[in-house]
Amino acid sequence: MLKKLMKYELRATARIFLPFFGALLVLSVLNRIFYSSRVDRMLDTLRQNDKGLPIEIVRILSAVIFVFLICAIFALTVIVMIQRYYKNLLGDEGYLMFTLPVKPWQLITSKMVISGMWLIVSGIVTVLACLLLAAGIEDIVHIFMEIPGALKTADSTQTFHNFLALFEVGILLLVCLCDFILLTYAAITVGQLWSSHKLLGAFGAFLALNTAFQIVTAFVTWAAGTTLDHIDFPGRWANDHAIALIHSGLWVVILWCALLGAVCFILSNQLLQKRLNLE
Amino acid sequence: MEPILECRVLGKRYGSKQALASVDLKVERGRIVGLLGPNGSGKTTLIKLATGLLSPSAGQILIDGKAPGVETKELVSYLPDRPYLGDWMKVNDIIDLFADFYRNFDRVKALEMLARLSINPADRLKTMSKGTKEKVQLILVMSRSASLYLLDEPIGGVDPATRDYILSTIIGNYSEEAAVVISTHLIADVERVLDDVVFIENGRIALSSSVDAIREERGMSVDALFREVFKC
Repeated sequence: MLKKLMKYELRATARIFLPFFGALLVLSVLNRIFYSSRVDRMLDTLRQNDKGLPIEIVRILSAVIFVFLICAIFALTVIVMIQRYYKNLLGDEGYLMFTLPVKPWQLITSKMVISGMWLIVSGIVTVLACLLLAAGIEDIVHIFMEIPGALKTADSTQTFHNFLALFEVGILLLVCLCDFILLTYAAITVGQLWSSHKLLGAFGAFLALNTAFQIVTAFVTWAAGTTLDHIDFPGRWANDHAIALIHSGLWVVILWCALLGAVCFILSNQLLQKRLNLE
Repeated sequence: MEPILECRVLGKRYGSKQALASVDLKVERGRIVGLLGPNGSGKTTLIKLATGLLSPSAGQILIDGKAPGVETKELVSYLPDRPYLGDWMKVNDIIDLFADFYRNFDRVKALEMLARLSINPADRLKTMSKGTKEKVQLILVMSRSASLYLLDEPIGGVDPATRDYILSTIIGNYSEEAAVVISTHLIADVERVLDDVVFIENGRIALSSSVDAIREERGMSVDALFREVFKC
Protein backbone atom coordinates (compact mmCIF):
# COMPACT_ATOMS: atom_id res chain seq x y z
CA MET A 1 0.00 0.00 0.00
CA LEU A 2 2.90 2.35 0.80
CA LYS A 3 4.24 1.89 -2.73
CA LYS A 4 0.82 2.71 -4.21
CA LEU A 5 0.48 5.79 -2.02
CA MET A 6 3.90 6.99 -3.14
CA LYS A 7 2.98 6.38 -6.76
CA TYR A 8 -0.08 8.65 -6.47
CA GLU A 9 1.80 11.23 -4.42
CA LEU A 10 4.52 11.33 -7.07
CA ARG A 11 1.93 11.69 -9.82
CA ALA A 12 0.13 14.50 -7.98
CA THR A 13 3.33 16.47 -7.39
CA ALA A 14 5.30 15.75 -10.58
CA ARG A 15 2.81 17.76 -12.63
CA ILE A 16 3.70 20.80 -10.48
CA PHE A 17 7.49 20.42 -10.41
CA LEU A 18 8.43 19.10 -13.84
CA PRO A 19 7.39 22.23 -15.81
CA PHE A 20 9.49 24.37 -13.43
CA PHE A 21 12.53 22.10 -13.77
CA GLY A 22 12.14 22.09 -17.55
CA ALA A 23 11.86 25.89 -17.64
CA LEU A 24 14.97 26.28 -15.47
CA LEU A 25 17.08 24.00 -17.64
CA VAL A 26 15.89 25.70 -20.84
CA LEU A 27 16.65 29.11 -19.32
CA SER A 28 20.13 28.04 -18.29
CA VAL A 29 20.88 27.02 -21.88
CA LEU A 30 19.36 30.27 -23.18
CA ASN A 31 21.44 32.29 -20.74
CA ARG A 32 24.53 30.46 -21.82
CA ILE A 33 23.76 31.43 -25.42
CA PHE A 34 22.87 35.04 -24.53
CA TYR A 35 26.12 35.46 -22.61
CA SER A 36 28.35 33.63 -25.13
CA SER A 37 31.32 35.38 -26.72
CA ARG A 38 29.57 35.32 -30.10
CA VAL A 39 26.65 37.33 -28.74
CA ASP A 40 29.17 39.60 -26.97
CA ARG A 41 30.80 40.39 -30.29
CA MET A 42 27.44 40.88 -31.96
CA LEU A 43 26.38 43.20 -29.16
CA ASP A 44 29.59 45.25 -29.49
CA THR A 45 28.84 45.82 -33.17
CA LEU A 46 25.23 46.75 -32.44
CA ARG A 47 26.26 49.11 -29.63
CA GLN A 48 28.38 51.06 -32.05
CA ASN A 49 25.21 51.69 -34.07
CA ASP A 50 23.14 52.36 -30.91
CA LYS A 51 21.02 49.27 -31.61
CA GLY A 52 22.14 47.08 -28.74
CA LEU A 53 19.36 47.93 -26.27
CA PRO A 54 16.86 45.13 -27.15
CA ILE A 55 19.52 42.45 -26.76
CA GLU A 56 20.75 43.99 -23.50
CA ILE A 57 17.18 43.92 -22.16
CA VAL A 58 16.68 40.28 -23.18
CA ARG A 59 20.00 39.38 -21.53
CA ILE A 60 19.13 41.07 -18.25
CA LEU A 61 15.60 39.69 -18.28
CA SER A 62 16.69 36.11 -18.87
CA ALA A 63 19.27 36.35 -16.08
CA VAL A 64 16.73 37.83 -13.66
CA ILE A 65 14.14 35.18 -14.54
CA PHE A 66 16.77 32.46 -14.07
CA VAL A 67 17.58 33.61 -10.52
CA PHE A 68 13.91 34.18 -9.78
CA LEU A 69 13.07 30.66 -10.99
CA ILE A 70 15.68 29.08 -8.70
CA CYS A 71 14.20 30.93 -5.69
CA ALA A 72 10.68 30.01 -6.84
CA ILE A 73 11.56 26.30 -7.11
CA PHE A 74 12.82 26.16 -3.53
CA ALA A 75 9.85 28.13 -2.24
CA LEU A 76 7.60 25.80 -4.24
CA THR A 77 9.07 22.62 -2.75
CA VAL A 78 8.35 23.91 0.76
CA ILE A 79 4.87 25.19 -0.18
CA VAL A 80 3.96 21.93 -1.91
CA MET A 81 5.30 19.94 1.05
CA ILE A 82 2.98 21.85 3.41
CA GLN A 83 0.04 21.97 1.02
CA ARG A 84 0.12 18.25 0.19
CA TYR A 85 -0.09 17.37 3.87
CA TYR A 86 -2.52 20.07 4.93
CA LYS A 87 -4.87 19.92 1.96
CA ASN A 88 -4.57 16.32 0.83
CA LEU A 89 -4.77 14.82 4.32
CA LEU A 90 -6.49 17.35 6.54
CA GLY A 91 -8.62 19.17 3.94
CA ASP A 92 -11.52 17.85 1.85
CA GLU A 93 -9.25 15.41 -0.01
CA GLY A 94 -8.56 13.81 3.37
CA TYR A 95 -12.09 12.36 3.13
CA LEU A 96 -10.68 10.05 0.47
CA MET A 97 -7.20 9.52 1.91
CA PHE A 98 -8.45 8.55 5.37
CA THR A 99 -11.12 6.22 4.02
CA LEU A 100 -8.59 4.25 1.96
CA PRO A 101 -7.61 1.03 3.71
CA VAL A 102 -4.18 2.33 4.72
CA LYS A 103 -2.60 3.16 8.05
CA PRO A 104 -1.76 6.75 9.05
CA TRP A 105 1.98 5.93 9.21
CA GLN A 106 1.83 4.90 5.56
CA LEU A 107 0.22 8.22 4.63
CA ILE A 108 2.86 10.19 6.55
CA THR A 109 5.74 8.13 5.12
CA SER A 110 4.53 8.42 1.52
CA LYS A 111 4.26 12.20 1.83
CA MET A 112 7.64 12.48 3.57
CA VAL A 113 9.52 10.36 1.02
CA ILE A 114 8.10 12.20 -1.98
CA SER A 115 8.56 15.69 -0.44
CA GLY A 116 12.12 14.81 0.53
CA MET A 117 12.75 13.48 -2.95
CA TRP A 118 11.55 16.73 -4.56
CA LEU A 119 13.72 18.82 -2.22
CA ILE A 120 16.76 16.76 -3.26
CA VAL A 121 15.80 16.80 -6.95
CA SER A 122 15.30 20.58 -6.78
CA GLY A 123 18.85 20.89 -5.43
CA ILE A 124 20.26 18.63 -8.14
CA VAL A 125 18.39 20.43 -10.95
CA THR A 126 19.56 23.82 -9.63
CA VAL A 127 23.20 22.67 -9.51
CA LEU A 128 22.82 21.19 -12.98
CA ALA A 129 21.27 24.42 -14.31
CA CYS A 130 24.12 26.49 -12.84
CA LEU A 131 26.69 24.11 -14.31
CA LEU A 132 24.97 24.26 -17.70
CA LEU A 133 25.13 28.02 -17.46
CA ALA A 134 28.77 28.19 -16.45
CA ALA A 135 30.13 25.15 -18.23
CA GLY A 136 29.08 22.91 -21.09
CA ILE A 137 27.79 19.35 -20.92
CA GLU A 138 31.31 18.00 -21.60
CA ASP A 139 32.70 20.04 -18.71
CA ILE A 140 29.98 18.70 -16.40
CA VAL A 141 30.82 15.11 -17.30
CA HIS A 142 34.49 15.93 -16.71
CA ILE A 143 33.74 17.41 -13.26
CA PHE A 144 31.84 14.31 -12.18
CA MET A 145 34.58 12.04 -13.49
CA GLU A 146 37.11 13.93 -11.37
CA ILE A 147 35.22 13.55 -8.08
CA PRO A 148 36.32 9.99 -7.20
CA GLY A 149 39.90 10.88 -8.06
CA ALA A 150 39.77 13.95 -5.84
CA LEU A 151 38.63 11.86 -2.90
CA LYS A 152 41.39 9.30 -3.39
CA THR A 153 44.78 9.78 -1.88
CA ALA A 154 47.90 7.67 -2.00
CA ASP A 155 47.01 6.15 1.35
CA SER A 156 44.14 3.65 1.04
CA THR A 157 43.15 4.08 4.71
CA GLN A 158 42.61 7.79 4.17
CA THR A 159 40.61 7.09 1.01
CA PHE A 160 38.32 4.87 3.06
CA HIS A 161 37.88 7.63 5.66
CA ASN A 162 37.16 10.24 2.99
CA PHE A 163 34.43 8.13 1.46
CA LEU A 164 33.08 7.23 4.90
CA ALA A 165 32.95 10.89 5.94
CA LEU A 166 31.18 11.78 2.70
CA PHE A 167 28.70 8.97 3.29
CA GLU A 168 28.11 10.08 6.88
CA VAL A 169 27.60 13.71 5.91
CA GLY A 170 25.18 12.53 3.22
CA ILE A 171 23.21 10.51 5.78
CA LEU A 172 23.23 13.46 8.17
CA LEU A 173 21.83 15.79 5.51
CA LEU A 174 19.16 13.24 4.64
CA VAL A 175 18.16 12.83 8.29
CA CYS A 176 18.06 16.63 8.78
CA LEU A 177 15.85 16.91 5.69
CA CYS A 178 13.45 14.30 7.09
CA ASP A 179 13.53 16.11 10.46
CA PHE A 180 12.43 19.36 8.82
CA ILE A 181 9.59 17.64 6.95
CA LEU A 182 8.44 15.62 9.96
CA LEU A 183 8.58 18.66 12.25
CA THR A 184 6.37 20.56 9.78
CA TYR A 185 3.94 17.62 9.55
CA ALA A 186 3.79 17.27 13.34
CA ALA A 187 3.07 21.00 13.69
CA ILE A 188 0.25 20.83 11.11
CA THR A 189 -1.20 17.75 12.81
CA VAL A 190 -1.13 19.43 16.22
CA GLY A 191 -2.74 22.51 14.62
CA GLN A 192 -5.76 20.48 13.44
CA LEU A 193 -6.63 19.74 17.08
CA TRP A 194 -7.88 23.33 17.37
CA SER A 195 -11.50 23.64 16.27
CA SER A 196 -10.70 26.98 14.59
CA HIS A 197 -7.51 28.85 13.59
CA LYS A 198 -5.87 25.57 12.58
CA LEU A 199 -3.10 27.28 10.58
CA LEU A 200 -2.29 29.60 13.45
CA GLY A 201 -2.24 26.55 15.73
CA ALA A 202 0.13 24.80 13.31
CA PHE A 203 2.44 27.82 13.25
CA GLY A 204 2.44 28.00 17.07
CA ALA A 205 3.07 24.26 17.29
CA PHE A 206 6.01 24.58 14.87
CA LEU A 207 7.62 27.28 17.03
CA ALA A 208 6.92 25.36 20.24
CA LEU A 209 8.26 22.03 18.95
CA ASN A 210 11.32 23.65 17.39
CA THR A 211 12.13 25.57 20.59
CA ALA A 212 11.61 22.46 22.72
CA PHE A 213 13.97 20.44 20.49
CA GLN A 214 16.61 23.19 20.63
CA ILE A 215 16.42 23.37 24.42
CA VAL A 216 16.66 19.59 24.79
CA THR A 217 19.53 19.41 22.28
CA ALA A 218 21.40 22.22 24.09
CA PHE A 219 20.89 20.47 27.42
CA VAL A 220 22.04 17.08 26.11
CA THR A 221 25.10 18.67 24.46
CA TRP A 222 25.97 20.44 27.71
CA ALA A 223 25.47 17.25 29.75
CA ALA A 224 27.59 15.19 27.34
CA GLY A 225 30.33 17.86 27.31
CA THR A 226 30.44 18.02 31.09
CA THR A 227 30.61 14.23 31.39
CA LEU A 228 33.43 13.98 28.84
CA ASP A 229 35.34 16.73 30.70
CA HIS A 230 35.39 14.57 33.79
CA ILE A 231 36.76 11.51 32.02
CA ASP A 232 40.52 11.30 32.23
CA PHE A 233 41.65 10.05 28.81
CA PRO A 234 45.16 8.57 28.89
CA GLY A 235 47.83 10.86 27.37
CA ARG A 236 47.86 10.47 23.58
CA TRP A 237 44.63 8.43 23.36
CA ALA A 238 42.53 11.24 21.85
CA ASN A 239 45.27 12.03 19.30
CA ASP A 240 45.65 8.41 18.27
CA HIS A 241 41.93 7.98 17.80
CA ALA A 242 41.13 11.42 16.35
CA ILE A 243 39.64 10.11 13.08
CA ALA A 244 37.57 7.44 14.84
CA LEU A 245 36.31 10.13 17.24
CA ILE A 246 35.17 12.33 14.34
CA HIS A 247 33.24 9.43 12.80
CA SER A 248 31.68 8.50 16.16
CA GLY A 249 30.73 12.14 16.70
CA LEU A 250 29.01 12.28 13.33
CA TRP A 251 27.05 9.11 14.08
CA VAL A 252 25.97 10.46 17.47
CA VAL A 253 24.64 13.60 15.74
CA ILE A 254 22.91 11.46 13.07
CA LEU A 255 21.25 9.29 15.71
CA TRP A 256 20.18 12.31 17.75
CA CYS A 257 18.58 13.95 14.70
CA ALA A 258 16.91 10.65 13.79
CA LEU A 259 15.53 10.47 17.32
CA LEU A 260 14.00 13.97 17.04
CA GLY A 261 12.49 13.00 13.67
CA ALA A 262 11.08 9.81 15.19
CA VAL A 263 9.44 11.85 17.98
CA CYS A 264 7.68 14.02 15.35
CA PHE A 265 6.68 10.97 13.31
CA ILE A 266 5.21 9.16 16.32
CA LEU A 267 3.39 12.31 17.45
CA SER A 268 1.76 12.80 14.02
CA ASN A 269 0.92 9.11 13.70
CA GLN A 270 -0.71 8.91 17.13
CA LEU A 271 -2.76 12.06 16.59
CA LEU A 272 -3.96 10.96 13.14
CA GLN A 273 -4.83 7.55 14.50
CA LYS A 274 -6.58 8.55 17.70
CA ARG A 275 -7.56 12.20 17.44
CA LEU A 276 -8.42 12.70 13.78
CA ASN A 277 -11.17 15.29 13.35
CA LEU A 278 -11.93 16.27 9.78
CA GLU A 279 -14.64 18.84 10.36
CA MET B 1 -24.12 -12.28 13.13
CA GLU B 2 -22.87 -8.89 14.32
CA PRO B 3 -24.86 -5.88 13.09
CA ILE B 4 -22.90 -4.18 10.31
CA LEU B 5 -23.09 -0.87 12.16
CA GLU B 6 -23.56 -0.42 15.88
CA CYS B 7 -23.39 2.69 18.08
CA ARG B 8 -23.15 2.30 21.82
CA VAL B 9 -23.86 5.45 23.87
CA LEU B 10 -22.01 7.31 21.16
CA GLY B 11 -21.24 10.98 21.75
CA LYS B 12 -19.38 13.65 19.84
CA ARG B 13 -18.50 17.13 20.99
CA TYR B 14 -16.99 19.98 18.91
CA GLY B 15 -15.51 22.27 21.53
CA SER B 16 -18.47 23.26 23.66
CA LYS B 17 -21.07 22.09 21.12
CA GLN B 18 -22.58 18.66 21.64
CA ALA B 19 -23.11 17.27 18.12
CA LEU B 20 -24.18 13.75 19.14
CA ALA B 21 -25.27 12.48 22.55
CA SER B 22 -25.94 8.95 23.80
CA VAL B 23 -26.71 7.47 20.41
CA ASP B 24 -27.62 3.77 20.51
CA LEU B 25 -28.24 2.32 17.08
CA LYS B 26 -27.99 -0.97 15.22
CA VAL B 27 -28.06 -1.37 11.44
CA GLU B 28 -28.51 -4.93 10.17
CA ARG B 29 -27.32 -6.30 6.85
CA GLY B 30 -29.71 -6.25 3.92
CA ARG B 31 -31.43 -3.03 5.00
CA ILE B 32 -31.58 0.39 3.41
CA VAL B 33 -31.75 2.92 6.20
CA GLY B 34 -32.67 6.56 5.90
CA LEU B 35 -30.85 8.78 8.35
CA LEU B 36 -33.22 11.71 8.42
CA GLY B 37 -33.11 15.00 10.23
CA PRO B 38 -32.98 18.74 9.74
CA ASN B 39 -29.71 20.53 8.93
CA GLY B 40 -27.23 20.42 11.81
CA SER B 41 -28.97 17.52 13.54
CA GLY B 42 -25.86 15.30 13.54
CA LYS B 43 -26.39 13.09 10.47
CA THR B 44 -23.02 13.87 8.89
CA THR B 45 -21.25 13.61 12.24
CA LEU B 46 -22.65 10.11 12.77
CA ILE B 47 -21.54 8.98 9.31
CA LYS B 48 -18.10 10.52 9.71
CA LEU B 49 -17.66 8.73 13.03
CA ALA B 50 -18.43 5.46 11.24
CA THR B 51 -15.77 6.17 8.60
CA GLY B 52 -13.14 7.08 11.18
CA LEU B 53 -12.83 10.67 9.90
CA LEU B 54 -13.93 11.82 13.36
CA SER B 55 -12.99 10.33 16.71
CA PRO B 56 -15.82 9.79 19.24
CA SER B 57 -15.85 11.90 22.41
CA ALA B 58 -17.83 9.21 24.24
CA GLY B 59 -19.09 5.68 23.68
CA GLN B 60 -18.26 3.38 20.78
CA ILE B 61 -19.02 2.94 17.13
CA LEU B 62 -18.45 -0.49 15.60
CA ILE B 63 -18.43 -1.71 12.01
CA ASP B 64 -18.98 -5.45 11.89
CA GLY B 65 -17.97 -5.51 15.55
CA LYS B 66 -14.73 -3.60 15.00
CA ALA B 67 -13.75 -0.01 15.76
CA PRO B 68 -13.03 2.05 12.61
CA GLY B 69 -9.60 1.15 11.20
CA VAL B 70 -7.93 -0.33 8.15
CA GLU B 71 -10.11 -3.46 8.27
CA THR B 72 -13.40 -1.57 8.45
CA LYS B 73 -12.35 0.78 5.65
CA GLU B 74 -12.32 -2.25 3.33
CA LEU B 75 -15.94 -2.90 4.32
CA VAL B 76 -17.27 0.65 4.15
CA SER B 77 -17.96 2.55 0.95
CA TYR B 78 -18.46 6.19 1.83
CA LEU B 79 -19.87 9.06 -0.18
CA PRO B 80 -19.12 12.36 1.56
CA ASP B 81 -21.32 15.44 1.37
CA ARG B 82 -18.62 17.36 -0.54
CA PRO B 83 -16.24 16.95 -3.48
CA TYR B 84 -13.26 14.98 -2.16
CA LEU B 85 -11.35 14.14 -5.31
CA GLY B 86 -8.41 16.16 -6.66
CA ASP B 87 -9.76 18.48 -9.35
CA TRP B 88 -6.74 17.93 -11.58
CA MET B 89 -7.46 14.21 -11.91
CA LYS B 90 -9.18 12.56 -14.85
CA VAL B 91 -12.02 10.15 -14.13
CA ASN B 92 -9.76 7.36 -15.43
CA ASP B 93 -7.06 8.29 -12.89
CA ILE B 94 -9.58 8.06 -10.07
CA ILE B 95 -10.85 4.70 -11.32
CA ASP B 96 -7.23 3.46 -11.28
CA LEU B 97 -6.83 4.76 -7.75
CA PHE B 98 -9.98 3.02 -6.50
CA ALA B 99 -8.98 -0.20 -8.28
CA ASP B 100 -5.50 0.00 -6.72
CA PHE B 101 -6.66 0.47 -3.15
CA TYR B 102 -10.00 -1.30 -2.88
CA ARG B 103 -10.00 -5.01 -3.64
CA ASN B 104 -13.80 -4.94 -3.93
CA PHE B 105 -13.89 -2.23 -6.61
CA ASP B 106 -15.43 -3.31 -9.93
CA ARG B 107 -13.91 -1.29 -12.77
CA VAL B 108 -16.27 -2.69 -15.42
CA LYS B 109 -19.31 -1.73 -13.38
CA ALA B 110 -17.94 1.80 -12.91
CA LEU B 111 -17.28 2.25 -16.64
CA GLU B 112 -20.75 0.96 -17.48
CA MET B 113 -22.40 3.42 -15.12
CA LEU B 114 -20.29 6.28 -16.49
CA ALA B 115 -21.32 5.40 -20.04
CA ARG B 116 -24.96 5.23 -18.99
CA LEU B 117 -24.73 8.79 -17.65
CA SER B 118 -22.70 9.93 -20.70
CA ILE B 119 -19.65 10.83 -18.64
CA ASN B 120 -16.38 10.57 -20.53
CA PRO B 121 -13.74 8.81 -18.37
CA ALA B 122 -11.01 10.80 -20.12
CA ASP B 123 -12.43 14.11 -18.82
CA ARG B 124 -10.83 16.00 -15.99
CA LEU B 125 -12.97 16.71 -12.92
CA LYS B 126 -12.01 20.37 -13.24
CA THR B 127 -14.05 20.66 -16.43
CA MET B 128 -17.19 19.09 -14.93
CA SER B 129 -20.25 20.68 -13.36
CA LYS B 130 -20.94 20.20 -9.65
CA GLY B 131 -23.73 17.73 -10.44
CA THR B 132 -21.54 15.64 -12.76
CA LYS B 133 -18.78 15.49 -10.12
CA GLU B 134 -21.35 14.21 -7.64
CA LYS B 135 -22.43 11.55 -10.10
CA VAL B 136 -18.81 10.45 -10.61
CA GLN B 137 -18.31 10.15 -6.86
CA LEU B 138 -21.49 8.15 -6.42
CA ILE B 139 -20.57 5.81 -9.28
CA LEU B 140 -17.18 5.14 -7.71
CA VAL B 141 -18.72 4.46 -4.32
CA MET B 142 -21.46 2.19 -5.71
CA SER B 143 -18.98 0.24 -7.86
CA ARG B 144 -17.54 -1.35 -4.76
CA SER B 145 -19.07 -4.51 -3.34
CA ALA B 146 -18.89 -3.21 0.20
CA SER B 147 -20.71 -4.44 3.31
CA LEU B 148 -21.84 -0.98 4.34
CA TYR B 149 -22.55 1.99 2.10
CA LEU B 150 -22.64 5.32 3.87
CA LEU B 151 -24.14 7.92 1.56
CA ASP B 152 -24.20 11.46 2.85
CA GLU B 153 -26.67 13.54 0.83
CA PRO B 154 -26.27 11.47 -2.35
CA ILE B 155 -29.02 13.28 -4.26
CA GLY B 156 -28.61 16.80 -2.94
CA GLY B 157 -27.10 18.44 -6.03
CA VAL B 158 -28.60 16.56 -8.97
CA ASP B 159 -31.71 16.97 -11.12
CA PRO B 160 -34.83 14.81 -10.49
CA ALA B 161 -34.19 12.52 -13.49
CA THR B 162 -30.68 11.73 -12.28
CA ARG B 163 -32.05 11.34 -8.76
CA ASP B 164 -34.19 8.45 -9.99
CA TYR B 165 -31.21 6.88 -11.74
CA ILE B 166 -29.07 7.25 -8.62
CA LEU B 167 -31.69 5.67 -6.40
CA SER B 168 -32.19 2.76 -8.77
CA THR B 169 -28.39 2.41 -8.89
CA ILE B 170 -28.29 2.23 -5.10
CA ILE B 171 -30.99 -0.45 -4.99
CA GLY B 172 -29.53 -2.33 -7.93
CA ASN B 173 -25.96 -2.42 -6.67
CA TYR B 174 -26.11 -3.61 -3.12
CA SER B 175 -26.36 -7.22 -2.13
CA GLU B 176 -28.42 -8.81 0.63
CA GLU B 177 -25.24 -9.01 2.68
CA ALA B 178 -24.81 -5.26 2.59
CA ALA B 179 -26.56 -2.37 4.27
CA VAL B 180 -27.02 1.16 2.96
CA VAL B 181 -27.33 4.24 5.15
CA ILE B 182 -28.58 7.31 3.29
CA SER B 183 -28.53 10.65 5.01
CA THR B 184 -30.82 13.25 3.47
CA HIS B 185 -33.58 15.72 4.06
CA LEU B 186 -35.16 15.08 0.63
CA ILE B 187 -37.38 12.43 2.14
CA ALA B 188 -40.12 12.25 -0.47
CA ASP B 189 -37.52 11.24 -3.06
CA VAL B 190 -35.85 8.46 -1.08
CA GLU B 191 -38.86 7.14 0.80
CA ARG B 192 -39.68 4.47 -1.74
CA VAL B 193 -36.28 2.80 -1.42
CA LEU B 194 -36.03 2.80 2.38
CA ASP B 195 -36.59 -0.21 4.67
CA ASP B 196 -35.92 1.63 7.94
CA VAL B 197 -35.70 5.21 9.08
CA VAL B 198 -33.80 6.87 11.88
CA PHE B 199 -34.91 10.38 12.81
CA ILE B 200 -32.17 12.40 14.39
CA GLU B 201 -32.70 15.70 16.19
CA ASN B 202 -30.16 17.80 18.03
CA GLY B 203 -27.72 14.90 18.13
CA ARG B 204 -30.19 12.42 19.60
CA ILE B 205 -32.20 9.63 18.04
CA ALA B 206 -35.80 10.85 17.96
CA LEU B 207 -37.25 7.75 16.30
CA SER B 208 -36.01 4.48 14.87
CA SER B 209 -38.50 2.33 13.01
CA SER B 210 -39.18 0.35 9.86
CA VAL B 211 -40.97 2.18 7.08
CA ASP B 212 -43.70 -0.49 7.04
CA ALA B 213 -44.38 0.03 10.75
CA ILE B 214 -44.75 3.77 10.23
CA ARG B 215 -47.23 3.24 7.42
CA GLU B 216 -49.19 0.52 9.23
CA GLU B 217 -49.22 1.86 12.78
CA ARG B 218 -49.40 5.57 12.10
CA GLY B 219 -51.07 5.46 8.73
CA MET B 220 -48.81 8.08 7.22
CA SER B 221 -45.83 8.37 4.93
CA VAL B 222 -42.31 8.93 6.26
CA ASP B 223 -42.39 12.38 4.70
CA ALA B 224 -45.59 13.28 6.57
CA LEU B 225 -44.23 11.88 9.83
CA PHE B 226 -41.00 13.82 9.37
CA ARG B 227 -42.95 17.05 8.90
CA GLU B 228 -44.91 16.28 12.06
CA VAL B 229 -41.92 15.37 14.22
CA PHE B 230 -39.74 18.26 13.06
CA LYS B 231 -42.48 20.88 12.86
CA CYS B 232 -40.97 24.36 13.30
